[in-house]
Amino acid sequence: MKRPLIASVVIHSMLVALAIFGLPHIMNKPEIVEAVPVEIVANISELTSTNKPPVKAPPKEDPKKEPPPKKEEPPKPPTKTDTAPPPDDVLKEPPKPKDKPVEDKKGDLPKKEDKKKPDKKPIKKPDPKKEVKKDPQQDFDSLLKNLAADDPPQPETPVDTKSDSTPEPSPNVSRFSDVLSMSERDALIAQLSGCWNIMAGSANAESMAVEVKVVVNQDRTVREAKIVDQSRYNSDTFFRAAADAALRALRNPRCSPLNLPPDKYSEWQSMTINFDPKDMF
Amino acid sequence: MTRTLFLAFAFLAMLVPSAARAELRVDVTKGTTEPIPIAITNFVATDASGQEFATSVPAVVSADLASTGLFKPIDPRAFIQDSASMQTQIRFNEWKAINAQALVTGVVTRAADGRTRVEYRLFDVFGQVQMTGMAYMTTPQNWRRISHIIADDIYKRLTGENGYFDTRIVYIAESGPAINRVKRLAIMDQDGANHRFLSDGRNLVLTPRFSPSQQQITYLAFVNGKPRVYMYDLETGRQEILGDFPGMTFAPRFSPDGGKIIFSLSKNGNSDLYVMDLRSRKSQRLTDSPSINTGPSYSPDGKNIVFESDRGGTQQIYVMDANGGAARRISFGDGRYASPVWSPRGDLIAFVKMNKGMFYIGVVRPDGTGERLITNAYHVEGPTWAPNGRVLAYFKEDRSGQRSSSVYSIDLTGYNERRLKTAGDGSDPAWSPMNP
Repeated sequence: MKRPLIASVVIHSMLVALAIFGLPHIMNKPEIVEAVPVEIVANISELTSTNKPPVKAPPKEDPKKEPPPKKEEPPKPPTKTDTAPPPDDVLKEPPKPKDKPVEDKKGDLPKKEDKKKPDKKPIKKPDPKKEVKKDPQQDFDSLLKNLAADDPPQPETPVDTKSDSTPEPSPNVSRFSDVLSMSERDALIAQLSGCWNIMAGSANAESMAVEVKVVVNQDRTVREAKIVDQSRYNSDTFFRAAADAALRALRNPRCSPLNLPPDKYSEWQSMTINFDPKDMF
Repeated sequence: MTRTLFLAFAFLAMLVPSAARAELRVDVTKGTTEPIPIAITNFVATDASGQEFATSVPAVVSADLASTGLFKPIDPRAFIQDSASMQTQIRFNEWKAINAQALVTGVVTRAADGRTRVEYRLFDVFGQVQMTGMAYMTTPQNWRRISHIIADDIYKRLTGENGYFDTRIVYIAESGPAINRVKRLAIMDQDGANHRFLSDGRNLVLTPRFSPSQQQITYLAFVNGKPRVYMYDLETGRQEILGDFPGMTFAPRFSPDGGKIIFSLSKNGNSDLYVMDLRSRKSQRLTDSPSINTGPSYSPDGKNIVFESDRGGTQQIYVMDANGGAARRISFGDGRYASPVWSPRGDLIAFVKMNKGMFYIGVVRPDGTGERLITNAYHVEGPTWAPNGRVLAYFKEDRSGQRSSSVYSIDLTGYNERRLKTAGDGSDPAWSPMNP
């Protein structure tokens, strides 16, 4: 009685193991590639090749899209209606002290045709080991200056800059440690940090986290990058600027190809990168 | 039975990999703060009359953007593609090759009515897309204004924040020896162009203040030795006396809607805050304490007032309701705090701090947290905010034998400090709201 039970457990365990390791791709549903609002240039490293995208027609204005009704501001009447005597030392202002305001402001110019097809896929290359280009071990504490912090005579002033926080492993890290090693993840993060430009001093800059869904070619160049929160992208100018900065990081030639282990393509071919400047402030 | 068990196991086994293989997620929490390399090309003129603007407009745009410290215009000598050929096709790879991340092109044409039409386009070089593009029309002599407006557009598209280039600065132009200093009210574009004097220097003038909503300033003039407050409408050139105010040492500040002014008057060694409705000209006293309360400034929503007071024993900054009442102290560091000014975006209050013989300009949140000192000198004074709340102007005096002061600007990072062009020495700057 015992033996069949043991046999059953062993065989079932083998089946489970087989299912886990043998059929990994069954559940790996293909990423649905939707139309990406801003396309990534896949071949950015090949700067010398002139495979330029079909940029269309010059911005020749067509007469029909000439201005919407101009809100012509008639020059303000130089009302010299001094209700009170001006102080005698005030120079008489020319009635129109200011430049005449710009008269009409037309709507957005038509977008130049810039939809371009995704660049040809670069040929997969066996990938030389990538050196981490720019190790952003810079002093990020000094992003916002505070004289009080480094000025010995005023040690009592409340110091607001956070002390250098070594990047805490994100809660997700352990979950994926079996996928990419910590050092592999750190290599990618370090690379992208060097290409990601943050607008210091902007309002709420520290809370402007941007999630980007990225599809990567096998040669580790970015095929597509799409901002997850499209509605905010279209409605919040701060977020849009932060999101564009994140996309520029992913498209920056300095960050192509991405620092990823070539043998784990199935793990990183599709990923979400969260650009969150929280450690900068 | 065994078969059912097997199927159940198999089913579970299928679930396990899907959990383990959740999509990779990477958090990038640090970046750089390098200025964005931007290529600003000469515009294309469609006729000879626009030739001059085709180079001067982009030059002003470039200077505006460079002054922020957030952009690095690329030397035009590095450009590979010429302006004319960009009108048919932009070869993005050639711009990428010179490390441009953003690209500006434009066209200048002359309209039938003699006005100049300037259009520009901003491109994302890596994304190879147009980010924004506008056309403006104006009289040819107004070309600097168009340039500033274009720079504001580009700044806003790339940073998300409103620009501040199409603005002006009023300040006190100073000349002459220390004992007989001539002080004149002067106005200029924020980049120092179109400079003009508004007063001839016969009377001492001080502390001009811009209305946050209109092109109006108040300032204090000593007429026959008595402080008198004037209000000057820059649009119409109209000038009014708001009254003689014995005991006044700073000009009033406007409320955010421009309908009221707030000021302090000192009597018998005390100083209290008052608000005046500009329509009815009625004043109301806001503080009544046996201490000095001065230097008031409204929050941008008009609900609160920040001011300085020595009610706690030393000169510190307090916030209270705009209608008066209890005040809450928000400065706690060593030294004395003065001249608080609420940022137009509401998130910070700029102030002057004096400690151990040194003056500082600092910023603090309205709740008193996050104090940062961003610049210092032998004497810095008079912070005033650019309308986007990211940049401050102030004046600085060095400890040199002869008295000389200059107007500077600095952004909130504290790293981009620049001396502004003024006619001779300058003090007491006041930054305008965006030009209408």
